[in-house]
Amino acid sequence: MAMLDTNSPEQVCSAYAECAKGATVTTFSAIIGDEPVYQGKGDDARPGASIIGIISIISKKMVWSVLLEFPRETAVALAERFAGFEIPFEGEDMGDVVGELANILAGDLTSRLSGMGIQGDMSLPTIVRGSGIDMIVPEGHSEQMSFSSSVGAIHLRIVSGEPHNATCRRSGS
Amino acid sequence: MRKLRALVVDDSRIMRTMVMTTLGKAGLADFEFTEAEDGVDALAKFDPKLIDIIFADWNMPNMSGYDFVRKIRINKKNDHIPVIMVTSEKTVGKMSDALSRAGANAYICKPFTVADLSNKLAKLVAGIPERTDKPSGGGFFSKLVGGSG
Repeated sequence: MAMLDTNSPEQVCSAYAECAKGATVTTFSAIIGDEPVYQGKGDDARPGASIIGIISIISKKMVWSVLLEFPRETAVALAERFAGFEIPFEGEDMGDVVGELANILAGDLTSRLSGMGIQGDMSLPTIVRGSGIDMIVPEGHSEQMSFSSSVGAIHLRIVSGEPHNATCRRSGS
Repeated sequence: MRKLRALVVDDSRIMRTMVMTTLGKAGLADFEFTEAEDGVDALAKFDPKLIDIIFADWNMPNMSGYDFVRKIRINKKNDHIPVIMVTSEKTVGKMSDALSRAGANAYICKPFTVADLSNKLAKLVAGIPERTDKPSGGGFFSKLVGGSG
């Protein structure tokens, strides 16, 4: 992988987006058994209940955050594929699974960023339930991505911002 | 099949269940499990006389798996207990840190399959010494005269 000019915000954001796409395809291919397909930005309006795993990668210059959102049907199907048993959407275990999925995605993403010369540490995941949730970072860059898969839609929002704006919980804290 | 006592450390209950289930399917040993939800909990539950093998996640609240492994490796008497990191951390630097600086013996990336576990663990499990389940020296008289027990 080519080293990045980390002083160029445009290059960095573009590279982050490509890494996030790749990490999503790799992660969910391994779990589902077939590749999710990138569908572009997707709809801003995503009606219905969903569950979101939020995780960040903290480097010296930037914080890279990922909001991994599953509609109810996707969450239930994916959780069963991942864990090997049925997990009710409303229960705590569903939050546990989504946190782990965000964790695995972030691990792949961190590895890809490392290959481009961007070193970072993963935060602990945070789980949110709701719909249309957005993460606002002052002076940050944000991009929405949607994927289709055999278990349903997968939505990803990637956000990059300054480290002093980070609100994530670090490992070991 | 030999019996082994495993400490499984992960802040995710689902992940601990998956590790235990997959180990059961791998058929390397008949495992008896102790679970811990972070490094602090694992330190409290770790007893080198009662644990044969450890599976530890990396990123956890309160104390990371990396720091837990570093702490137990400070005591050289724990060196015979294999530690396997089971984690989503995939960078070469982190793997190297876990194996050479923290003292883990093996590294398994999430998500993992039964084959992944079998391939990484077969030799490690075979190398775990058989327990005699007898106290090594010590006992009442030894303690009375100030010996180790």
